[in-house]
Amino acid sequence: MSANEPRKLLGQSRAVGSRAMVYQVADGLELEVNEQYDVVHKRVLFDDVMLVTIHREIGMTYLLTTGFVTAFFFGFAFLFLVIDINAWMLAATFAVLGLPTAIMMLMRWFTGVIVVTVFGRRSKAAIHFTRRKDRAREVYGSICAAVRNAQRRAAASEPE
Amino acid sequence: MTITTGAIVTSYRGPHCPRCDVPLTSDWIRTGVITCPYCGRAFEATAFEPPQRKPPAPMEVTAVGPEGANACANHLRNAATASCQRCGLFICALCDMNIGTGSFCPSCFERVRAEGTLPAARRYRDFATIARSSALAGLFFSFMFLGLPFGAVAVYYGLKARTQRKSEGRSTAGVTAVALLGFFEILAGVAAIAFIIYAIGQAS
Repeated sequence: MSANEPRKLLGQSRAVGSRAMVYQVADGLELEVNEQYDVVHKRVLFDDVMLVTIHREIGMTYLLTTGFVTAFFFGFAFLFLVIDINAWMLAATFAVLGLPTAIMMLMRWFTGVIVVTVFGRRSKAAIHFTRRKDRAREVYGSICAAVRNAQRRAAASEPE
Repeated sequence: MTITTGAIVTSYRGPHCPRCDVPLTSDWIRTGVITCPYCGRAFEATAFEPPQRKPPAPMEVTAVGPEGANACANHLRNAATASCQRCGLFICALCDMNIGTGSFCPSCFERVRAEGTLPAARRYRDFATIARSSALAGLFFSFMFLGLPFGAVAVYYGLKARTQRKSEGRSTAGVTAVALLGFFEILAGVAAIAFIIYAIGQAS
């Protein structure tokens, strides 16, 4: 792995406590995984790839987290209104605080996230696309093409 | 090899359902729309048949001595093709653990990998994340006067992250902003403490 090797950012995947940036390099995909405060580099080599998949998912962890925060703020807003109808200002403040997570939850619920997963013999890489769904299809196609080319080259160079 | 799937570190055992993580058997690894036999949900897939890598064929030692080849330390019948750059042991093509960072014998390779000194398997601290977390914590806890220590940590790691980003040739704008935020948290913390001391002085 050379520090000056050209690489192209394809996307990233996030989970609780970790984030992975996925780059395309000449011979495969390079993952820069942030595990808490540590960074680890991993690779999925194109001539090792067995399966590339694409699917749409909602992400239950994300939905539950945003749902919980929304319920917390909206619940308090409702509680204040039930206790005293004149406390509508306080209730409105809490409702406004819960609004961003409510919008995030509804957006995720309706639009979902497209996941492109690359399975190699020894490692795998996943890329999540939350906004640019057409880009997911484009990346899926480009990875498949790169894998096909790399494996064709590897098969041709392998002595009989 | 252990790999990270989201936050969970698991042992990777080949292709699995991207939805439920159950390993797929070879008859399920195919091109088209696949419905997972376990969770029943569908995903689109393109299957490949990666060419099998043949292990390098080692040369046999035919003659020893000044004219002949040196024998591998682990396989006496094989001719050495390299020497371990850590311990100097003669190694054959089978033993040569070269991943683009020089030749190592298997035991030295394991050792440098465990030590984290192998460039290709390096693990390093991400100072930018520490600086960001500290700055955020400083913002949240500034009402408890904790903006001061968190701000100091954010500035310290923000500056370290700046050096790290520069050496990687990446933009330093984000980490500079975090360091500045940490600096303002320190100022706010000092101002808050000064105000309290002043208020106590006035009251007494």
